[in-house]
Amino acid sequence: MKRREFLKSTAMVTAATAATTATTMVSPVEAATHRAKVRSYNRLGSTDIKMSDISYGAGRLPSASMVLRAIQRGINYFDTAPDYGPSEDHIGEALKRHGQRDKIVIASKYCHPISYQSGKSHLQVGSGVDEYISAVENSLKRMGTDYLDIVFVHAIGEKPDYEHERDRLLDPDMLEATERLKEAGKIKYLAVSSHGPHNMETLMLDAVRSGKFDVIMPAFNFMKFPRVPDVLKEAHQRGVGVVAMKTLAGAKDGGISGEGTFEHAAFKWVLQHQEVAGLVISIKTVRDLDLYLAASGERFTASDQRVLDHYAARFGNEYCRTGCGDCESSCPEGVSIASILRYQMYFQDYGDEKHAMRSYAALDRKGQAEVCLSCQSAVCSGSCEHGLPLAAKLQAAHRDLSFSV
Amino acid sequence: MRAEAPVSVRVGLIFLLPIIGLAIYLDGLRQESERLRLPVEMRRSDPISQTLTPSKIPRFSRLGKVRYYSTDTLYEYINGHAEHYISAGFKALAVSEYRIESNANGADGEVEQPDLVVDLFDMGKPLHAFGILMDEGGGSLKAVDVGDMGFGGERNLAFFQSRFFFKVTGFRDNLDLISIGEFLADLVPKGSDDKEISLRFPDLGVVQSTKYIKEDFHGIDFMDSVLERSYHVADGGVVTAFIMLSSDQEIARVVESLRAFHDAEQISYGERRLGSLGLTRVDDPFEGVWHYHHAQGRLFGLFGVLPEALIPKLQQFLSSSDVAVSSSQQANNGTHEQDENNNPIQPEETSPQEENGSQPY
Repeated sequence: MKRREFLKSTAMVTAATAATTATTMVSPVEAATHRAKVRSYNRLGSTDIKMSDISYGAGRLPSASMVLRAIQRGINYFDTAPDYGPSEDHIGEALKRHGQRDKIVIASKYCHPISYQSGKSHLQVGSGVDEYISAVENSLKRMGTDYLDIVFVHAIGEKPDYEHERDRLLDPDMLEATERLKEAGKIKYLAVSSHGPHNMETLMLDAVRSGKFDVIMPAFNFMKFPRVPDVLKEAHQRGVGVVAMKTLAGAKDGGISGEGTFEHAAFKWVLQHQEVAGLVISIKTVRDLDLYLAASGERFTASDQRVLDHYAARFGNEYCRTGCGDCESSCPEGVSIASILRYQMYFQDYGDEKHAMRSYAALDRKGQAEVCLSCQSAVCSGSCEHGLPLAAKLQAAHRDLSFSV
Repeated sequence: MRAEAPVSVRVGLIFLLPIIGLAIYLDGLRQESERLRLPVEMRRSDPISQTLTPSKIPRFSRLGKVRYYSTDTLYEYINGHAEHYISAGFKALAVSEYRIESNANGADGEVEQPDLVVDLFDMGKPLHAFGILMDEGGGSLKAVDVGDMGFGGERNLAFFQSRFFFKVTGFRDNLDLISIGEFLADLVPKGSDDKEISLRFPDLGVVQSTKYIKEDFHGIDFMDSVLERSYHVADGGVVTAFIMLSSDQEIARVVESLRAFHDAEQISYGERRLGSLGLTRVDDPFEGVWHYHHAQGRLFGLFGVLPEALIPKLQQFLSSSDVAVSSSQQANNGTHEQDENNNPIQPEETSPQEENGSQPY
């Protein structure tokens, strides 16, 4: 094609696009989000890392190009793991193209890609020093780099046995492996992450007080985890860096988000806590980049509080917080309270009735709420710290979610 | 004063009432029927679930009960990897453990360990099951003729049959996982969702991987249901081809969206001729130089620099009106055994970076 023809065709396409755009109403949020960039970087505890306030959760990373787009927009912190599908491979490909490894912070986990043998990926107590070291070396190989900035003990608090989780947190083999890897220059810092559902705050405090961890990454949002600020304060006093995750309070998974205003308010609410250096968000598309980065560097305002208040008022004493689990042990019949309330939310609030009923039907019979219809004791009532009227909600859920002719 | 409806209208409405009631009743029956069919989720009472998690496999008896996982609980079994499965279309999982019948029972109180574990994933559609197989297979596993397509090693077997993805793990040597897999594949009922996967890719070199991306291909939210294949070409280079198959209208819409996206992102693109074929070349700072072509309900794309010797093959492929070939035919063609000798050469329009042999960014 001649250059003149190429320019002509490009101009025509551009003109057509401009005409289309001109006739389309663009909201202020849309205008602000397009090609938004990071505007704030914060020191991560006592480390030498200054991380972007909005950072990349690479659990659903679709390609190396998304990493490069994110870097171009100013994101410099990438949270990945061996069991996040091809995430580490994509990061490796991006690093090869980008070439400036020292400008990027890579955080991965002490785990393996999903294991055929055990079906588990997170390294457990008893894994041994060599296995921890091998996990990191395999990550380095996949990503084509000779060091990780941060390695995490991942998802602490996933089991209800506190002592077991504490043992995993402070596993001597893990700590020895960490020392060896640091001496070899293969990792810089040690961290721990948790989204519960068990003993999250306690375990985070254990990590902070142990003096072994440089960074913690708790789940933290405006809807729940009221004890996390105490953890943040102590972490700050001891120079332990804090990265937050699950900052959208489950709204993204529930299909509530997508408009921009709510996400920005939720992010800014977390970032207004001085102890939090940055938050990690699962980013999958260019649209996600546009949407989320617009909140970077912005102050939390009264208007944001109103948005969150509105959300909390709507869902506050109706919404069962994902991962809370406070009520689970209250029912002697073993009813899966948290799951049922979540399905009811899908049914009532999101109109996703088919999915809700299917999910409910997939529950074990014992876990369903049929028994609640004739329950006289209602011992669950009052067990929810957020004030949900559990007995009534479970009865209504059973009626909605089970089909009867 | 309000006028009354004519008698004929009122009588007509009365006769309509039972018809309306019947319609509501029949619709309720249809919904119940759909629910009972539950095409994509398993329940303990579901006949398909019971069939595919047999209490006996030749030489094996099941240990304990089958464990079921949904999208909400999958993470309990496979931790962070659950998100990947769910993104890929996961609907439900049934896990069965088996012991060899000749194996001595454990001592009293001793927990019996399985000799074999079968993970049965309902991925909702055959294409989704294929996609997960492509992600989970490969590596040290070799292609095996089990189900619609499979990969196996000494202690691991992964295959898909219809919408179901099976992972079979042995905890002893010499378990003949292929026979076990064939037995399980035969249990899958043949039904209307048994469409073969269209895997029509050009022959461009040694296949490195084939993947199915259910949604948001390369972070672009209007590019869904994409098949991607990577090849080793001459001098160690890698090219990656992708295909979207849909209606002509849908493909045209995707192409239009792609152009708008590139305009908005200020990514340059332009037409390029390949003989009689028109391609669009994109100079993307994040993807590198890539090309795409659309015709006959197919969008074909190619990332990377294609050696000149392979261009005729690409032309032939793009000119062909035969858009699809079945997954079983593709498997039988031994696509993992190809070999080519090619000489790299510059394309018509080159950038300084390409002439120096480096990536455009």
